Amino acid sequence: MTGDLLTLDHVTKAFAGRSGTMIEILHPTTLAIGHGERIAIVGPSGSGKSTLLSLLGTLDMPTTGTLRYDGDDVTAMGERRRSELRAARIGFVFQQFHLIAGVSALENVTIGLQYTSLPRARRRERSTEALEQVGLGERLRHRPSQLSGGEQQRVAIARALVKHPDIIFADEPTGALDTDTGHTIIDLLLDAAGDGASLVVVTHDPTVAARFDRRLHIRDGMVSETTQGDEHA
Amino acid sequence: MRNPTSTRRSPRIRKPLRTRIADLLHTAWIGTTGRVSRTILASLGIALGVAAYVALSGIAASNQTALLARLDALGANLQIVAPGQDAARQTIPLPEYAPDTIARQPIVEQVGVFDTPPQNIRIFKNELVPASNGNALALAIMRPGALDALGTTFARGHGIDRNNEHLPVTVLGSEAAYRLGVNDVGDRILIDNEWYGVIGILDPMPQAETLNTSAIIGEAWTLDHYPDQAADIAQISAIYVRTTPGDAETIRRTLAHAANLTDGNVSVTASADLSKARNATSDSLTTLGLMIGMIALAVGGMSIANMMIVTVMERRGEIGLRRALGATPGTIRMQFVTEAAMLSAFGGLAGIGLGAGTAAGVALAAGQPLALDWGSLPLAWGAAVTVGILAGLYPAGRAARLTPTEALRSE
Repeated sequence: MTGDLLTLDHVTKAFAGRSGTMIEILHPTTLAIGHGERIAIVGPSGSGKSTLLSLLGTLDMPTTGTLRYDGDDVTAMGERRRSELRAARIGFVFQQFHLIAGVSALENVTIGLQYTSLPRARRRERSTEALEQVGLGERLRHRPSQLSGGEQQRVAIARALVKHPDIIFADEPTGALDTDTGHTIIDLLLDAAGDGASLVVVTHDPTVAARFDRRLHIRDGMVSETTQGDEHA
Repeated sequence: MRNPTSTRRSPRIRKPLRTRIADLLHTAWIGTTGRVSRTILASLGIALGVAAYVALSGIAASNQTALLARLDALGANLQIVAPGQDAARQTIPLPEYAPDTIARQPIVEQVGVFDTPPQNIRIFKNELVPASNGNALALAIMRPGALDALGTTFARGHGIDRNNEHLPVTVLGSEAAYRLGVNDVGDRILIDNEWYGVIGILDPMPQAETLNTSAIIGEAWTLDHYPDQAADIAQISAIYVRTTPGDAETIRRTLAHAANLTDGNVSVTASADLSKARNATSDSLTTLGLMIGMIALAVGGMSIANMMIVTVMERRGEIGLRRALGATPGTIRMQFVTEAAMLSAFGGLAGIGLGAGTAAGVALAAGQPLALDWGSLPLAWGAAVTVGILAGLYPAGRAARLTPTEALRSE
C-alpha cells in the first residue's frame, strides 16, 4: 500500500484563555506519518507534546487545518465514526497505565477489544496472546496491585497491541518507571511496532528519543524535525 | 516534513457492534463490585424503600385479610333476597327455583332459605305467661343448612339437622332466649300452644337482626304439623346469600335476575355500610403502603444519584481510557446508567427479602395470616430498577459529555 497513514495539514490547536481570548497551543503544523514509521516527539513540559499526540490519536480535534487518516478526513467525521476508528485501528499507551484496579491483567487487556465486533471468546484468546507477547503469559489472573510498575505498563502495552493496530501512540510510557525498566518498555514497543504498526512515542528523555529514526521537536507549539541521518551528517 | 512510502496494508475498519448487553452488564458488574462498601451503602437506600413498601403493604394485607374476615363474618358479603312488590303493592312470591338458580351464580358461595311462618303464632316461656305478653318474638322456618349460610355460631347447643328435623325442636336467637329466660338447651318453650325443646341458642347475629328475636324451627316438622297451611308455608320468605366480594350493584342485579327470571320485582338488600367499609379498608391500607414506599424509593434514588456523581468524578481516568479505546459517548452513558440500574436491582432484591421478612414477622406476632401480594413484588423490583435508571441518567450524562482528553488529563 502506498501513501501516508496519518497527515496533518496546517493544523492548529487553540484554547480559550481566562480573558476569553484564544491562545494557540499548537501553531500551524503540517506533517505526515507513514505506515510502519517510528517517531519520537520530544520537547519540554508544556510545549504541546501531549496536545499534538491527542490530535494525531483523534482524541481531540484541531481548531483549524485537516487531519487525515488513511486518506479519510477525520476532522469531518462524527464522534461515533472517530470512536470506531480508535476502537479498530489505534492503540494507546499512557504514562499512568490506566488499568482498572478491580480486574485481572487478562480482563484489562480484553477491555482493549470491548468496542470491536470480535466475539468474547476470540477477545479472550487474543488478549492471552498479547499478554504472552509482552512476557506476562504466567500472570494473566493477577490484578494490577499484584504487578510491578513495569509489569503494569506491559499490560497496558498488551491492551494496545491486542487489536493489531495500524498505529500505537505512547504518551510518556517510561515516565513512571526507572531507567532500566523504561528501556525494556521501549524495546517492547519497538518490537511490537516491528510487526508493521507505526509507533509514535512522546518522551522528554533524550536517551529514549535517540532510539527513534525520526524525531519531532516541539517548543512553544512549533514543530521541527530531525532524523538519524540529519544528526550523522 | 517527509512522506515515507510504506508497504504495510491497513486492515479495514471493522464496524463495532452497537452495544452488547453482555458487555454492558459485565462492565457494570466490574464497576459496582469494585467498591463493595459503597455499593452496599448506595443500594441501602433503594433496599429500604422497597422494604418499606413490601413490609407495609404486607402488613396492610395481613391486617386487611384479618379485618375483612371479621367484616365478612359480620355480613359485609351477605345479601338478603326477599319477595318484592308490584305497582299495586301486591307481594310477588319468589319462585321455588330461586334458591337453585341463585346458588348456580359464580359469585354465590352459600345460600340459606327461610319459609313463610304460619299466621298468628305466639311464643311464650310457658302457659303461665299472659297471652297479651307476646315478647315481640317471631317464628322463623328454616330449610336445611340455612344457618350455615348466615355464618351463625352457637352460644349453646346445636342446630336443626336430619336427626331432629321431624321433631318439635327449636333454636333461639340470642335476644329471643334472653326474653324467654332460657339460659341453656334442654328447656322447653311454647310455640302456638305446643311444647318445643330448645336444642340451640345462637350468638348475636348483626348480619341478620330479625333472627336475633326469633325462634327457629325446621321446615320438615312445620309442614308435617301444619298440613292445611303447607302451601303458604312453602313460600320463601327470605334467601340469605353469601357472595364473593364485588361491586354491590352488579351483585344486586345478578341475584335479582337469578331469583326471578320472569319478574323483576325482587327485593335484594345488603349490609351496605359494611360493604362500603370493606372496600374503603381495602383501598386505604393499600394506598398508604404505596405512598410510603414511593417516598422511600425516591429517597433511595437520590442516594444512588449522589453516589453515581461521585463515582463519575472518581473514574474520569477510566472514562478517558474507554473513550480512547473506542467507546462512544452513548456507550459511556449506557455504562453508567446500567451501573445505577444494577445498584438498584441489588437494592430491590434485598428490599424484597427484608420487607417480606418484616411482614411475616409482624403477621406472626399479631397472630394474623401472612398475606403478601406476591404479584406486586416483581412490580416493586421493577419500580426500584426504574428509579435507579432515572437516578443514573444525570451522572451518566455528565460522564458522556467528558471529552477523552479532559478525562485523561484528570489523573
